[in-house]
Amino acid sequence: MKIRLLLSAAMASILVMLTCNGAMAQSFLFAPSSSNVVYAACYYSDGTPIPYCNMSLYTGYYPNTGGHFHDDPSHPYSSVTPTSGTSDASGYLPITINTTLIGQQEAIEVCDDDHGLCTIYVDGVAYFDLNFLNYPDRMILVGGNTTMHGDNNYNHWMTGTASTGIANAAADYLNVYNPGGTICANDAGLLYGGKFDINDNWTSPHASHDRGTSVDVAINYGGQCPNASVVANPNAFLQFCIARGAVQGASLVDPGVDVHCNWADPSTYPH
Amino acid sequence: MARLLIVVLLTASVYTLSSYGQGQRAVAPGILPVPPWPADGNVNALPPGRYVFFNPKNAEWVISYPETLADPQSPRVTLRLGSRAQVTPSIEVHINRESNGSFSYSYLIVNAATARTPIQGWTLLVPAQDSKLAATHPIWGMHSNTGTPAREGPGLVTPTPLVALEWSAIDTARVMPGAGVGAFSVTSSCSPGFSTASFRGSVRTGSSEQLTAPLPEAVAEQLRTILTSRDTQVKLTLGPKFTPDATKTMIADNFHYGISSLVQQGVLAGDTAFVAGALQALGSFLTSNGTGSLDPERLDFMSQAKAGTEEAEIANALRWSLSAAK
Repeated sequence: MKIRLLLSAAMASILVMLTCNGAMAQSFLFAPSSSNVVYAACYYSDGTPIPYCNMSLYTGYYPNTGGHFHDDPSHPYSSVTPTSGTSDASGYLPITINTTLIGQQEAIEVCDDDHGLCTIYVDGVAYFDLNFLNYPDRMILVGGNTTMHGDNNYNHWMTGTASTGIANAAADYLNVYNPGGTICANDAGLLYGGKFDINDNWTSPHASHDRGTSVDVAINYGGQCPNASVVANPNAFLQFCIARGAVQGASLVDPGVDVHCNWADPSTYPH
Repeated sequence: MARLLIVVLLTASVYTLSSYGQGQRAVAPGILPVPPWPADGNVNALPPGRYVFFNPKNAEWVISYPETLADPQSPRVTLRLGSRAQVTPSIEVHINRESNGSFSYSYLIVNAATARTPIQGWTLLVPAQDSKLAATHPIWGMHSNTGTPAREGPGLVTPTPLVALEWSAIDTARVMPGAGVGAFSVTSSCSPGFSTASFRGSVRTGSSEQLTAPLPEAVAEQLRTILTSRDTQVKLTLGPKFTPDATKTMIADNFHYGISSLVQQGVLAGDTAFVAGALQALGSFLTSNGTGSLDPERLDFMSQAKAGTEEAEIANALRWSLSAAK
């Protein structure tokens, strides 16, 4: 119930969340759009689980996490099933945490209703295989502070395969067309991955950026990208991406906007 | 008559089970990330596809799998690993700005009297690219683990590559339940922010790689997840965090999360002028799309931190980091 209070006030802060009979425990990590079975229990002080204990379970989210610096009443977050129950003879109640596509910081609260005790777990809904796109010798990062998803430290996270792929493709292109220069990398994935909702409504478009496998490379002059770093030969850049492992059917040139290189077919990940 | 007998038997059964912890008080409930190991050892009802379990009676992870994974009826291999998370740590930090511009961090760790095992070691994640980084303790050994890129827990992720500072005790210097050990010292050029410290008990040795290497991959994957995220006790603390290229958004994000979490843990009161003011100012900045102001000299809540408390330490840390930010 405390987390529900938190959520109703989520726009303001997460200030009021836990009373003195609560405790905070270790993190759980769950992938976006996943179903996860865990086991709730009430405990005696020696660590023995209490059989037939009545429990309630709640979920909530932390605003302004996962690079989502926007909020509204429709903000999605994980659900728990069942929301209440009684532990079995061994003292456990299996519960299922179903996450959404939103990568963010969340919380699970388990309450021992028989003794008035609660514990809050922090959980991260995230892909924890993402790395920051850190190649300052060959790419300028742009696109930050434009869509309520933080500065350029938040929108440039990719899997190891994809970040290596775009780094190599950039080097290949620059060697031929702009030696010593740089390209401009616009949106890749958010730091936790998951839905990159550029319209701040928790949904697409931008679905191909939901797994940290794709990145947009600027080809338009006069925007955030300095003219000297604009990719002047988009089709050539696209071919370099494909030669470095980008999926041909998932990569394309959006004329006048960007080259979109993706190292995975979007049908292979939740989006 | 028959119905009455059943009711009596059921009642007796419930009473017997309930009386197992008789005389003990209930403590905070919890969630196990893996299925519980059956108290009677009966493996016939184990959930399919799950190979790692927890036995609360002995505080141990139980790895149990059919010798041939594709054949559930094949003989089972069962291994037991003591959990290293049976410690109850707390951590205090004091930070100083040195005349050469570096920061010194001094830590005291305590293992509560209720802990089941002594603290054998602890780890602090710090930025890897730091020319002034040094970590010492008069007795404990310190190892800087650069082999595997370290990752912060949820809420604290930044683009900065990290390294793990790992302190280990010799047997006579472990932190026994009810005791504390200080004089852990870190010097760094990085300004302070919230970071994670993870504490491990002294029940076994062996790295995650060594423990999982002999196992079938499907089993090893489940155990690896447990050993990396659930086999230590993790605490928030202030530590070296921000390199000079850190942005105010990153700093605000980190402190907003850290202060919020400490309020939840009961370490900070949520209704003080400092905490309320900090969360309001940091939250507003984060939702400003980079257009807000966060000038440390103009933040009224800073001066309202209670002297000599965690609030004062956090206020100093926030002031130093914002002053150094781009």
